[in-house]
Amino acid sequence: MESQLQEFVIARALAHAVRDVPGVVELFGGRLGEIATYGRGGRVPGVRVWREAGLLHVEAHIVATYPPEHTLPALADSVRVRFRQQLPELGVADIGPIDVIVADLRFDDPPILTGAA
Amino acid sequence: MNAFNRVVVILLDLLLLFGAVLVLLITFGAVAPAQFLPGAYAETAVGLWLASFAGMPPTETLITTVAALVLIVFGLMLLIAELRPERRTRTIMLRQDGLGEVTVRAESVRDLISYTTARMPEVLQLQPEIDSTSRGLQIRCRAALSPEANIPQVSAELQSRVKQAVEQHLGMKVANVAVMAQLEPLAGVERSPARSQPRRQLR
Repeated sequence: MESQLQEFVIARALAHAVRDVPGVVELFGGRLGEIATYGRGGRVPGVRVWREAGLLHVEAHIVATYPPEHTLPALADSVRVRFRQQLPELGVADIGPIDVIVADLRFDDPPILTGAA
Repeated sequence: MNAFNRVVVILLDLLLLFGAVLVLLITFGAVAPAQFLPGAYAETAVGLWLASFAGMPPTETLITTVAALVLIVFGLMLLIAELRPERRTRTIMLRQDGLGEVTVRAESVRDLISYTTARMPEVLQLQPEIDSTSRGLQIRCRAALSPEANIPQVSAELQSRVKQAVEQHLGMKVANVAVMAQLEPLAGVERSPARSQPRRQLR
């Protein structure tokens, strides 16, 4: 019998992996912490993982740096590529849609005021 | 809150409402505990506790009534809060393909526009609105400018900066940037902190 990793465990691994993607500051768990995957003994904020019709669905809510090195769609592609590399390592073969939501921007450099002081 | 927790809260809330209404009905003699509790249960702790609400002195009746009404109001408010559909955060679709969707919260795009225009000292306040259409993004900016500003020149620069920033970072075509400039302050819009003190993170 094939064993499957729990969604919570997968979400935790993906949350760890997404932080390595350049341009992603952190995950966004929602104002009330409602965006999360729940499991025994905890929750993973910012990542929702669920199974539907035999496929694993993933939704990642990220906070991106600004200015970004690339466009936001390119950043989202990097996240999706990272997840698609990670999921087979977790034994997930049937990967469904991976949705990326840019929930917020982190402005690291202050705006430069030009013109009259 | 996930679905399971929400169902548990709703069931407990319904139980609370039922109990409060029942106590109120017994207090005013509209029903007797024996009417809904089978004979065997009438002598249990619950049956005796419910029966104690019947025929109370006026002061205790008043206290019980107020307490039951407070619980009913609280229970109804909680029920409405739990059953009300969640407000969906407005998002803009950047890409949709077989691999999934890429979206950005409209609020983040507004923050991006505000951040971009914060570099223009002539722009005192800004209220951007974004719509996604088949031709691209439609952006409308209400802007309060400083009295010394050359309105046509600043408006044109604002249009150019907003279009460039959004296209460059969202990778989406901007169909139109409409600027409604005025010298009077915008009603109901705070002066952006970014203009006086840069925010590290805009939320």
